[in-house]
Amino acid sequence: MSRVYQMPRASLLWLLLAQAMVIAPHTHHLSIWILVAWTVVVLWRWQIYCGRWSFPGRLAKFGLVALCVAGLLLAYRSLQGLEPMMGLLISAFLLKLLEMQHRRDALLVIYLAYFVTVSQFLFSTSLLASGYGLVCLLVVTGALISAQQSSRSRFSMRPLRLAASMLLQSLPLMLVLFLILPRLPSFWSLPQSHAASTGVSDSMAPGDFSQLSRSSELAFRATFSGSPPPMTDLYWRGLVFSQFDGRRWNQAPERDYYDGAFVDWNPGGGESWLSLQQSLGREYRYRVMLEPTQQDWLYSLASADSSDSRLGRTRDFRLQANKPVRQRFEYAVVSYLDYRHEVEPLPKWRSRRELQLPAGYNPQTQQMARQWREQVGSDRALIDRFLAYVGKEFVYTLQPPRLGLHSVDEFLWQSRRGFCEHFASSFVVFMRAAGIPARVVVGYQGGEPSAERDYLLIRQSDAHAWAEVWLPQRGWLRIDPTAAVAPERIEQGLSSALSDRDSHLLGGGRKLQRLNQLRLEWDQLSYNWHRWVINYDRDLQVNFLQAWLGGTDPWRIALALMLVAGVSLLAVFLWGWWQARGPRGNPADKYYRSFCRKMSAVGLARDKRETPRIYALRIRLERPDLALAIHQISQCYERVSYSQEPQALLDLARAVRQFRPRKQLRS
Amino acid sequence: MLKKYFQQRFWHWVDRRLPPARSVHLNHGRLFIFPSRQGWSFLLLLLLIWLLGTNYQNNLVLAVSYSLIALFVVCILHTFNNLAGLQVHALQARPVFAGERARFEIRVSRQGHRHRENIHLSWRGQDSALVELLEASECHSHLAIEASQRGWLAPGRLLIETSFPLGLLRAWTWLDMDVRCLVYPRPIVAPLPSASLAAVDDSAQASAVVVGSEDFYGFKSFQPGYSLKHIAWKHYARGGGLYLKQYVDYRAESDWLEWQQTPGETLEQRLSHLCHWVLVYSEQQRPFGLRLPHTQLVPATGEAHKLAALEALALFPTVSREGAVA
Repeated sequence: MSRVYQMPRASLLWLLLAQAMVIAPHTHHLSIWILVAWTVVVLWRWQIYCGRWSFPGRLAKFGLVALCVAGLLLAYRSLQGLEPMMGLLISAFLLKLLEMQHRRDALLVIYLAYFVTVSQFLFSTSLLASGYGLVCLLVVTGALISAQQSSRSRFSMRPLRLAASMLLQSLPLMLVLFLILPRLPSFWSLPQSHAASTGVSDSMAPGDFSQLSRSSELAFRATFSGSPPPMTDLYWRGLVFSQFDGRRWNQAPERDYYDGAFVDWNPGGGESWLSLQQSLGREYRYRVMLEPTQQDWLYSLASADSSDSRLGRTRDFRLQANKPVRQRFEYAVVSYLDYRHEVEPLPKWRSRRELQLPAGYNPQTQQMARQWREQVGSDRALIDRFLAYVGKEFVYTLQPPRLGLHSVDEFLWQSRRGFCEHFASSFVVFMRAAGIPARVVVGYQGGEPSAERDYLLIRQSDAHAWAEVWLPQRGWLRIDPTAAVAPERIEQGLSSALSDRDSHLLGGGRKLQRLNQLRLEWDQLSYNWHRWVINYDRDLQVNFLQAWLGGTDPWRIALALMLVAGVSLLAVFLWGWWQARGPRGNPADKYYRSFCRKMSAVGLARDKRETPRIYALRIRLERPDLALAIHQISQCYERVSYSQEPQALLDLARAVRQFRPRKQLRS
Repeated sequence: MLKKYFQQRFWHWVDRRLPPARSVHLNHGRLFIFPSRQGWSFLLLLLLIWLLGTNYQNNLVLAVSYSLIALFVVCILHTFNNLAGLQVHALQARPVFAGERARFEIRVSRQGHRHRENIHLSWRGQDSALVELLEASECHSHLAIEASQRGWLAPGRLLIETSFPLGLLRAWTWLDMDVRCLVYPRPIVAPLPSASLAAVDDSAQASAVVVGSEDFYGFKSFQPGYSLKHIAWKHYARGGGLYLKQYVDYRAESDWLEWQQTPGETLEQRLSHLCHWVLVYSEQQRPFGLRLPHTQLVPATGEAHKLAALEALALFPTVSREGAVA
């Protein structure tokens, strides 16, 4: 119809509420200018609503648009990427508020609100965010209903109630669509979030302040089929650092490996260097659910292998994803804790790489290393001596002093205070100086069992750095110098290794047993949410369809869809019919019938032909003791039935309730 | 051409499906439902959200798109239920003069307690009235329609539509309420007929007065048998003899409004003048008769007489038969 509907006044309130709710989760990545524009727009709209101001003129609109665009450009430098696009969308969403006069405009705003609601899921899919998204969906639907109310309707909670009931009614159909509608792969690549990377960083400088996050935020979860390895073996390798510039450790450039590509993407294995990795002993199968890191390296126990086509194996025996992990990423790994890496004598180019030290740094360490190596006679003895030295005289602390130019010298021979990075770095420098190939490995160590003990939680505070040395006939061997100084760090986790002064850095909550239990319960819930809902992918879907429909044929899907849709819609239809069915009788009749039942219980049943008045007259003659009560009841009944007095209905209800006739005693 | 043909076919079909009735119960056989323009754009929005979810492989986004699909489907029932079960009853409309707006009163009532919101009633192409049944279980609305021509005015089909609650779908029906409104000719001022005054003069001695009891007329010598009340006692007391006071009733002059003598170029103009005269005579409570070519009303006064006269004028055969009439 071409009629132009004015939007109802009450719906503006719903709209503003819905808008505030759907924008709130985006505020952390929105430019401050957009928030300023938002405030201006909402204030302005409110003044219009109150009748004080009029809709903005062209100039004011232009100013607001300029403010938003300038804010976007200032904040993001360009309009590429997910955040600027969201900023653009939200700006349009805000500014449209000032043009909104008709129902059509309000609908556009509401549709945008739906879109902004779903886009918050691109930034977070946590349980909390999902719950919040559901509330947003409810309020936006409420706003849509209120925009459809007539212009004379007042503000009430009815739109929200109706929205809730409609969403509830659509739940079965939605569930079945979600479960059985086939999942398609993405059609084209899309701009991604530029959120800061978390967790282990791609370089390490032990002399500077720590780069490792100390929060109890989740890094990943690992679900073992069967029992997990002991805590002391849980070294989750992330990156291998072979290049040291005197201050900072980095990965060796990929071109430094001459025997093939650095990453092998072929699930069957194509690179010749794969034969350098020998696995022995029992295998551990597990799945890792990695939180978004924005990086492409993955975590696994050495020595790891995977048949997942999205994963590649690197020359330094790690796993790597084919693209940065921007959403929670789950992958399956097989690990053999007993392994031999590069057992054959290292070729010259390899040993040169793993013995590299920058000239002019840490002279004292270099000298002491050569001296000790001559004294002890073997590589293994040198390692033992170093570990014994560290274990005797060093302090494990999260707040070490800053170190100067010769960071390893200062740490080993002067300050003797530090954490895993210091120990790992100085160990490797020391070994290299003594002529033993060595490298630094960073990742996570340990893991906390979940509430139901079916998976391990690895937190950012479990981030760790350790070392690997290459020994003839043994290959690469893991050595954790931190274990020598603070064995409880490895056996029981970080908090137990710290002195009281340090442990507040981890947040006191971890100490409280009850709180910790709650936290674990919550994480269990959150884990299941991600495991079964967020990660419900084609594989899980196929399993589900096999189990419930006995196959994945289109006709089965269509049949199930129609069945569920039909049944749920029928239920809604019947419910509607039930509400609109014919008159359910005068409410007074109910009370009067109850009165008649009471009377017939004492043997004074009403004859069907008697009107209430005649009946009352008869009873008055038969039972004068009841006459007053009966007179009152039949009076009220007549008043309700013929004049629809609401008060009389209440009187009748009370009179009938209080009416307790007794059987006449025959004397 | 083709469009016209299909429109014709369509309205034939509607006529068969929804025959005229004064009172109609809206049920599934009488209601139509189809996505509105907003509904189509909502489906487009769903597609966009689904694409977003698929491209980012984000299950929550997909879940929202599916729940909006389900919401759309559930909305079909809700929109339908907003109209279904209503009882629509047309009450008779009061006659009006041409050029005024005829007001039809429509009563919409429901059974049960389900709220009905934002329902619009309108005659096709005319302005609409809003019906809402929240607490009340029935609602009377007045729908005006331009009455441009005298005669019976049939308002055509009544459009009842709603897109509550989500505006995504529109449910509607066209009802032929079998109701009509009498439209009198538009009154146009004209000098009162002089011919009728002359006629009054001619018949004056014959019918001006009759013996009665209302007005004093004169004296008359006493004759036995007359009521003592009529004796002029004052005159008698002065010794002037026994006389009777004589009373008469003036019978009002009755005018004939003649079709033949009504000025006016066209038939409609003549009718308009006659209409005006009928109104003037009735207001002055002067008796009048109406003589039309095919019918006549004997002189009388009163509301019923006026309405009968107006109805006769309203239903005067139209132009096509004027030749036969004149």
